[in-house]
Amino acid sequence: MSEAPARTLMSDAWRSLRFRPDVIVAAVVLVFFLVMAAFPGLFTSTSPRRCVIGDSRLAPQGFGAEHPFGTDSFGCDLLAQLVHGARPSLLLAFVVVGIALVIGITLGVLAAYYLGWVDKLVTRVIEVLLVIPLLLAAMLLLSLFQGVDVGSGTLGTILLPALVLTMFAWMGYARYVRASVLEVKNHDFVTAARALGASDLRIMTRHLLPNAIGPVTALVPTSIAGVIGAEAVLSFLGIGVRPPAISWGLMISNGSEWVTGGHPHLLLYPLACLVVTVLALVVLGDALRDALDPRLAA
Amino acid sequence: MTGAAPLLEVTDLAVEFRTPGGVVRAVDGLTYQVEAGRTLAIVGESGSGKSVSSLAVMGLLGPTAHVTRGTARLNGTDLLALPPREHRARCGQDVAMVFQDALAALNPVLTVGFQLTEALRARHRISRGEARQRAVELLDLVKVPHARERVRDYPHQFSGGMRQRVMIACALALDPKVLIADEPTTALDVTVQAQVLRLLAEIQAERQMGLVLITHDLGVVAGVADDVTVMYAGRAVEQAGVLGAFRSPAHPYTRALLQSVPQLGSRTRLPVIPGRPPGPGDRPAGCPFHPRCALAQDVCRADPPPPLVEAAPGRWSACHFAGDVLRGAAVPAETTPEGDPR
Amino acid sequence: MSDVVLEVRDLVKHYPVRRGLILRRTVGAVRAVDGVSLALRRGSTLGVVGESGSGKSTLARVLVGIEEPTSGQVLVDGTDVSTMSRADRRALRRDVQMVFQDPYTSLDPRMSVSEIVGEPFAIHRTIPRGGRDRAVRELLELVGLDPDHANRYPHQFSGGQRQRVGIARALALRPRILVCDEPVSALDVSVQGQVVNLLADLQAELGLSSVFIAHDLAVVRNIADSVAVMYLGRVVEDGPADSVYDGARHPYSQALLSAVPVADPTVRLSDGRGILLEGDPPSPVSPPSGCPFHTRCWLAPTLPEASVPVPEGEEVQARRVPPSCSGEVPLLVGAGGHHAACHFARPLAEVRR
Repeated sequence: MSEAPARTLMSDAWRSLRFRPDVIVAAVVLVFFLVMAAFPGLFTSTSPRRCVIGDSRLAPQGFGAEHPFGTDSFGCDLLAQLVHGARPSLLLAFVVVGIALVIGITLGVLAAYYLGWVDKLVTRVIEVLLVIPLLLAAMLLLSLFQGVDVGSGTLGTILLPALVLTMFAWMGYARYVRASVLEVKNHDFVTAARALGASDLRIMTRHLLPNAIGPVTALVPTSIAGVIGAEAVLSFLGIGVRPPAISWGLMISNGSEWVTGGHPHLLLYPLACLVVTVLALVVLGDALRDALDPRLAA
Repeated sequence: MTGAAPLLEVTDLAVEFRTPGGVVRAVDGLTYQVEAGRTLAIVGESGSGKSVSSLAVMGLLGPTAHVTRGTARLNGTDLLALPPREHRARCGQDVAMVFQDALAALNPVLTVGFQLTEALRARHRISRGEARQRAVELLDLVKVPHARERVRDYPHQFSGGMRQRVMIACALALDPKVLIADEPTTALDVTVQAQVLRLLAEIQAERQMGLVLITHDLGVVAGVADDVTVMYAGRAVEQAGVLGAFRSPAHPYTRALLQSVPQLGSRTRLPVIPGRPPGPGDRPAGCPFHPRCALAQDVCRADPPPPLVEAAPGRWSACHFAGDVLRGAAVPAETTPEGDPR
Repeated sequence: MSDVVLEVRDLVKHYPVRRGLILRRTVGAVRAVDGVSLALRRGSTLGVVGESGSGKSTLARVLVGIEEPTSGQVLVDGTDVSTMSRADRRALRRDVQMVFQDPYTSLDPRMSVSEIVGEPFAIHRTIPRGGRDRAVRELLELVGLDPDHANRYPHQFSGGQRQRVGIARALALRPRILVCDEPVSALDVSVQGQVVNLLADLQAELGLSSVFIAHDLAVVRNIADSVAVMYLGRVVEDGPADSVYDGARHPYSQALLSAVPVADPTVRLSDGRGILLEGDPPSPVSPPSGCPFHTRCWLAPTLPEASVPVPEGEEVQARRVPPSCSGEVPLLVGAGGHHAACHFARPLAEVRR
């Protein structure tokens, strides 16, 4: 009963999205980087760890040459670094934002729906976490996990930064969701559902959430950029992605030292990758939100 | 529609909205005039363009709407031809407006006294004391009790009826010659509505203002209006003195609308107009009322919308059969299947 | 007694008013409903009229079980709802359904019409999944909508059509009682009649009993069998509709009826005919003592009883009413099923000057 019309909405959304040039470009960009993260071997055969100090900070040489994007300050190939840095960066960003979304939305809906002590607890926790500086908490966690071996795979590399960043990423979502649920819940359709005898869970998932999620989706692309950037800061403290592992965030923070030193490409290439990814997400997110709103879908 | 020279004379006004779905004509060729000391009621249902037309006269249209045709002469000056700044200035001064929702129209963080004299202070250099005195006078004028103390209060400290009085006082601050009231009592309780309407009528008679009353409530029209303009789908379909329009309507829509008003007298099945008023985007070809009209003939469907013509002295109607309707050609109230929204 | 399907006795609903950020103290109460007793007869329509703040909407919410009463009883078929088990109450929800005022906010904008009308089935599982589509189509047809529009969304319908969707949803569980809270006040005049007539037809067709709450006395006149007039959380007059409309006894009902604008241009407001009340209804947080209407009553100051000597030590009020009006809460009294809560209740003909 509920599937049939839902499918029509999805297929309507798909039909309206398929032919929009901006959506197509954004989708291609995103798929490109996702493939890069999944199969780095497709894009470069050079190992990002084979570094020749003598060849450090070479200017970009163009495709076909040995170092198409040049080399960094240790003489490592920049293209290979970019390609191999995609996986940890994107994985970290998606994991952090994904988990933060789930936490934030759940707590936001619960706080706004039940109010009372639930709301007080959630809003106080949010306020406390907003006051604690990220770096201070990161250092605390760092010392806690100093002796713990988290493995060396990609997951292991991002576990610690993911933990820290998730802890500090969900509050925004929770506040947005809480505010819009508070507004939505005064509408008569919520009262109507209650008068029909709908359970709290049903009211929250079927009525409140779909109507309150809008403002949050606009936050997601920018917070993905935020996570990638923050990860670079954490890596300075040694709990981010640690060398020899590579990430875009690490490359951006290293590269920024050389911008004024005559080697802007060290910053510009990773930064461009990040900006393009985020823009693609912004376009896709907006288009999807509009397409899934029956009031805007033609 | 007779007598002294009109204060406000709107001629052939057309307003269009640009929407994602194309250009939509909200008002199409509206003409009316208001004379000193008289009340013109503009009656219509949602989407009839009654509010948009007055916003256009006041220069308050949003960025997607614009006037494509017509004039609005106030004492001979065409307001619509003035540059926006001058238009606004003239509007505060000579034409003022009262809105439906007083709570939304008053600024919640400023005292009522401040808002009452804001327009005055913007135009003349007056001292604080003078401004205060003027604010008290204005509240007295609209019969807000304890005016001297209440000028220091904020809008939320007033009840709904009192807030509407404050808004009327704001509109009267610059002694306008014409007052446009857009559904001024729709949000009020019926006992309070009676007070506010009576107040408006008193002030108007005293100052010989022209009053344009925009409303959907035919009971209010009957109680206070001298002349009536009935709007449907962006056009005026009937214009007449209030007695004539109510006793022997010259347009089938006016007649059907009057019949559909629930009566207090005895319990009856309510006569209805089938279908619904068209939105600005989905107006039918031909006479816009023909899909709901019991009298509709082929000519109503095929010909362009009929113009407003004088069916009898002082009786204007935009209907191909205005004469027949005026004579009371029998139309049973429910000849068409009722309420079929398909 | 089995003739009464829904009854409330001494119903009270107060909302606490709290102050303070951390230590929230209860400083008072909004006395939304303050001792209301009403009965709805099987197959009939009870009209409840009143202005804003009269508590009529709160009454509706208590009747359908969205709000719990502070005290008093709600009886369905003679059984006190508060003594029922959870499961029984849930079943009761099906029997008493509600139609809302605003057709623009009472339908979830993100659900299609078939989801909205089918939601009651999804909640109560009265119809297996496979049969729901057909049930929804039947309901849409019942309220005069095209069943082929089931996959459309609320914003694609006009106000009147949306209100029909709301009615279809309320009828899905085959309720026996329909509580309509201002069901036509947001609609255009020409569409109001369609919805009122639909409700009347459905009521006859399905054997429903209904409570019709509205501020528009003329609309209620054309659908209600009996009427209750509410003021500040109390019923001030009730009785058979004809009796109340033609011979209102409470000065408030009389003023209310007199204030309804009639579509007759020979009755001008400026004539000074009719009863004009002063001021707005008082706040339900601090209702006046005694008769709640005495502060605005047009009758009380004109009564000879108002000019009794003021007891020593009390200041003389500009507006003087009989001591019983400001001192005692009047009870609903009367004969022939027509009651008024006024110490000086009398038909209007006797007092009209």
